[in-house]
Amino acid sequence: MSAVLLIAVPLLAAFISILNKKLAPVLLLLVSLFNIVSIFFYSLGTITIGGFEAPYGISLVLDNYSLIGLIVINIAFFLVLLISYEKVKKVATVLLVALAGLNGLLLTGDLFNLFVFIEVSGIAAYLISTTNKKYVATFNYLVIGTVGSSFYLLGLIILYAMVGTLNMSDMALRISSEGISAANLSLPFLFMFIGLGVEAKLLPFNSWVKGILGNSNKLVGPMIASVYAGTISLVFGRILTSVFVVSDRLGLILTVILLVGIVAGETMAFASTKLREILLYSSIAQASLVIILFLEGITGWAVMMVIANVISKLVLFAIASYTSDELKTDEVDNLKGIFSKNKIIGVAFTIASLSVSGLPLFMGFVVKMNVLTSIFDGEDYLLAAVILLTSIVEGVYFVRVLIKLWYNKEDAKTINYNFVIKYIVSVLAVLLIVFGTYTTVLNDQVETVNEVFEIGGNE
Amino acid sequence: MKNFLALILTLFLGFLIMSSLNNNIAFPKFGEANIGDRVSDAYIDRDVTENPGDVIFGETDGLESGPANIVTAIVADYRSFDTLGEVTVLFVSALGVALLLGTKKQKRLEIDFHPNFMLRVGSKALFGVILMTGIYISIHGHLTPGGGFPGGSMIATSMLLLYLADDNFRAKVKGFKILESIAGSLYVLIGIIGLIIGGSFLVNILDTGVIGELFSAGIIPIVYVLIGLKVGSEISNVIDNFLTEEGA
Amino acid sequence: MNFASIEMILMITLASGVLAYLIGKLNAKLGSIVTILVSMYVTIAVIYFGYNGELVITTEYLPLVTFKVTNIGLFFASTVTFVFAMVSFFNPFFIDKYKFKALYSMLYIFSLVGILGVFFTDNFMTLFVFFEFTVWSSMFLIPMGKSTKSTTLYFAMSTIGSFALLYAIFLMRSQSGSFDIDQGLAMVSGAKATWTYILLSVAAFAKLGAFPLHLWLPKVLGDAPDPVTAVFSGGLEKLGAFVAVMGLVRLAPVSFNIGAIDMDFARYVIAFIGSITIIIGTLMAIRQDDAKKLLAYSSMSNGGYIIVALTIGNGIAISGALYHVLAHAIASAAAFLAIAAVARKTNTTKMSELGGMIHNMPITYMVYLIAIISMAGIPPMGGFISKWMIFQAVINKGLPIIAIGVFFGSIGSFLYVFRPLAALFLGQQLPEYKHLKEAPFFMVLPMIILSGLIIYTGVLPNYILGKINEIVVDLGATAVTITEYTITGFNGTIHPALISGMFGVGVFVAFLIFITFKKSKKVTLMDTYTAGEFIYTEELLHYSVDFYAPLERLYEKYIHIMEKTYDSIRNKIAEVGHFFKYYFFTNKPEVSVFWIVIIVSLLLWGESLW
Repeated sequence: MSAVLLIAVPLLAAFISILNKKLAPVLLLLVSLFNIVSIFFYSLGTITIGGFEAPYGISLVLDNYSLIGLIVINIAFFLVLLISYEKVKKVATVLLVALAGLNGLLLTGDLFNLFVFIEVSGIAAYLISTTNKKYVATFNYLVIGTVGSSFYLLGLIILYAMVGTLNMSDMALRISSEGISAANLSLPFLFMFIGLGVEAKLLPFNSWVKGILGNSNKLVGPMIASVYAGTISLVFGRILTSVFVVSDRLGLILTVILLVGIVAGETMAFASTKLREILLYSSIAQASLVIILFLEGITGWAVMMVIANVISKLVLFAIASYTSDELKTDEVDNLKGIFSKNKIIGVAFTIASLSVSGLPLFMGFVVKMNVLTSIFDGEDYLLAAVILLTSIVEGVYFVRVLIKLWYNKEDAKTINYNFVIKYIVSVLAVLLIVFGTYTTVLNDQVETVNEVFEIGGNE
Repeated sequence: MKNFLALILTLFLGFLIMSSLNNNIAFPKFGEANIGDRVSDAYIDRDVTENPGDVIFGETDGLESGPANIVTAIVADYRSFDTLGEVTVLFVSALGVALLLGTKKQKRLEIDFHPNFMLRVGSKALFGVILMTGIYISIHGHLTPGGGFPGGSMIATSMLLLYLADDNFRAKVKGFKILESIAGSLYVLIGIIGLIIGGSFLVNILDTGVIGELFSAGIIPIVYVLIGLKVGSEISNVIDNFLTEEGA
Repeated sequence: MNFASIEMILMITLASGVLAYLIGKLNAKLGSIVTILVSMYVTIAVIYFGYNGELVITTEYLPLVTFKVTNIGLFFASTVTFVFAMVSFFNPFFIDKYKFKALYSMLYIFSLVGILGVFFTDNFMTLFVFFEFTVWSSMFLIPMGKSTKSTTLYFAMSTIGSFALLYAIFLMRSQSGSFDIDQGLAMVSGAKATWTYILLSVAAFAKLGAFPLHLWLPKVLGDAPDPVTAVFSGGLEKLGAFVAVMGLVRLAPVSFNIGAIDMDFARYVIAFIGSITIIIGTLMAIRQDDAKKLLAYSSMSNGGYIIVALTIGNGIAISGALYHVLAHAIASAAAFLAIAAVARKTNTTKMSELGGMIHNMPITYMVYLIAIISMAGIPPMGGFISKWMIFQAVINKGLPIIAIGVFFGSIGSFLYVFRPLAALFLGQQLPEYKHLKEAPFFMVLPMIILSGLIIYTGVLPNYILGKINEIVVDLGATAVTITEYTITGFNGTIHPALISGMFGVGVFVAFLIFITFKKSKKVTLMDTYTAGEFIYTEELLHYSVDFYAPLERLYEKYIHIMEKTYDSIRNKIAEVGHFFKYYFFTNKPEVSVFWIVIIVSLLLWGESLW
């Protein structure tokens, strides 16, 4: 079997699904399940499309990097569907397309093909976000997203004019063999960076996030904040690691922009009083941090951080969005004590947020420690200081929220969480603890990821 | 004032991009790009897998990529996967329009324009011509400029004409849906069949024939016709969605 | 399975934490009894195996974790686990007051696990993991008490400390190449050594609650559940002392030497902050009405003593500091427990709402009396010994400015520690508490044990000082000269047992006088002469209200400075957030596009200029 089926089967299902609206959600679940199962049967390697070898034809790359991403994203996608099944019905076809697009993003080894999949998954995302029923926000998302992908395309065109190929590995090869200096590549890379930055929620290209995630329902929240964000981060990672040759100057500028993004994200979360807003600003900071790690070449642990984020954001946003769907409010002050009546949900939320703020026993801690180790190995003391300082802020607002959600003076509102979300979030929370204590798995995965990019293992 | 500032800013940005590219030695000047070491060279020579020697119109057969139209060769053969993606983009956009504008019961949008008899009759006559041209362009995509996307748009244009010329006209949306679905599914299925028979997705499993003939280039005309049908039906659906509103 | 291995002890404890939760779900009381059993087990295991040299450090099950038994680790571990064990006896009596009862038992045990891990490792990363583990498990204990507000503050301050520690750890690693504690501390040099010194001090300050990171201490100790307060003050705070020993003693900062006193500038600064901590702690303690907060500030000022002593860093100073750690741990645990015992009956810790508890709870009264005598540094209690050694060190080093703080604190502590004694236990009995009885046996028992230890440390300090001398030698300083009954300082020798004997005689004589000339007449608290006027606010006439008003007036304008500073830091952070929100997160897509264009333009412009 060829991994192209991960894209082809959802697409086929999407085309078929418009015939029967009732069957579409079922088809969606089946296809999503098929994808998860089938991932384990593909063999690693480059998959050519149309019988033309790379760089002439389009090729998909299934290496350990994309494999790990595919596993995580497909499973997360499936879980989101389960959590929000009643919302799924209306947009089942769109979600099928989204699934194809996300898998395409992770698999593709061609820069233009990547653009196509950005468009496919992007438009799918706009449509998914319409289920929030905040059409102005969706419109903003549409406009900014389009501007972003236009920038990406413009950058790619310039790059193609310079290098004459679109295949990622061929591109990297030619850049080094033809001796094109990093400074000359700054312009196209900058454009492409901005284009991807819009989707990856990097400041200042990310104003759409507030409208989309700040009003998210239980489908949009986890889907955009966890599944989409994870995918885009991984795409970013691949490009930054295997294609981009970032000059020192550009690297410095981008790092500064990203650091500002981290600071901004954490402070904005600190200044917010609504649950979903806190989470979304926090995820802006997380996203910037991940990209910095990729820029710094800490690829393996960056991937682990993406995974940790996918898991914990899925839990956090699923619970936050579900809660605000039920109560029609997400002011933290109005939600006081809700966890004391829904302990399972509360514990899962607590574990996820403690993991994000990097407390031991949880996955986030392991990742953060190893990331810091790598940063200090690179003698980047300022970066480490910023990360630690912002982590303090992050921890503070998370603890503040947790305390409010657990303790209450008056009677707390009751919410009936259905058993699906309960099971899913508790399984994910347990997963965070497992990865947080049994770290050998993570280390192994980091090794395999680093081998893909021939980065020396971190001892 | 705001618009003016925006204009200035955009011009400034444009100027900066231009001057930056102008100073960039890696960026080839117009007409000076060395085509020889680029991938596009192989597309023109059709020598990605094997070198066929000189390609002569109407004589050479069994090429790796059969279309006489180079653009089609690239779009629908070398980079057919991208095209599948673009088809999906259009598909999901049309779906989005339907999702946002489509309601259960629809009637035509009330517009203050009532076509007269001449327009109605004339457009019906024109309809056939445009439709035929659209189909023609789709079918000959591998030979002449055009192809599935322009052809499909032209098919949709003929539908638009009917809508404009008759304010009671409604196309059978359900039919378009089925057409769209079948065309799209077939495209993917052809790809999967290629995967099963030829070993890679969307591989050309049919004989490419003699370059320049109508029945040549293997699956490419088929794919292009499918694309044409799909695009045509999707855009027709979009037109229908835009020109109808909620009501009995 | 080796029951003397640290790994086993840790894992058993961790597992029983979960067990305590499960049992606590069925029956909260039983769950809290598990905490007693576990902490007793840990204490006995640590002390028995530890001092017999039988603790095994190999690990079989825990990956990446390495252990090491050091004298100092053992000293701290036995002190803190002992406090945990003593306090745990109170848990069953308080468990009904908590919102999440089973969770309480689990977290209580988890904090113990964290503490143990910190003291018994030779690896910085392991140390940090356990350090943070302690932070979050203890953090969730706090909101179960009176108020949830201070939790966030505790977390913020603790995290500042933890991250300072972490940064220091990485700085050391960059020079030593590993996370090994001994190597790290030994090999760090140059500017990095100074930074490490500062960062470790910050970490220690945050945990000890020293100025300017002290704010959490009174708030948390005031708000947390009563037994937890004792654990914080007697146990968790000592983490800071542990880090302080690491940083202040084992590291040599390289700034410049102050010739006159032969002391490094960075060191002097830390010592100075230590003495400020003492003064602030003392002044703030004087004006508290809540007995728990009062003791919290006293904890703070005692932390100051430890810091000052450690910066001086000679044999006497270090032994003084370590002995102070022990003495303060047991004394403050005893004092907090005594107040907890009162609070359990009366539901208040405000001194102005209490009085005359000696009639109801004589044993608790005695325990408290002994504890505060020790805290004030009066013989024959343990606190005297340690303070004597610290004074010796400070005077000998010739640090007049710092000595002012140290002596001020000592005198100041007379002012405040006897206030709760007088207000809570002595004075007239309040009518509403007339029916109250002495605390149950299992609460009295740990308090008596603690009191016994306080006296023991005061009368016969030499056994423990011997152990401390081993640490002192480990740390590279000269051991203090001790014989069986004497301690030799820089300018003299004391005989603690002799002093205690004299004191005992003095007390006995006083007691005889008290018995024979007992003439006082009992009046009720509110039986006040008011010149025929009806009193509406009789509580203001309680003699503990505004006890030191004239003194307080001298500095009451300044007491909120730090609080305001932190408030304004918090507001600043939020302001930055609002700024970003306002300029970047509008509902207008054109603003985003504008920013994109601006950034691109600036970069390109810059590029063409470069």
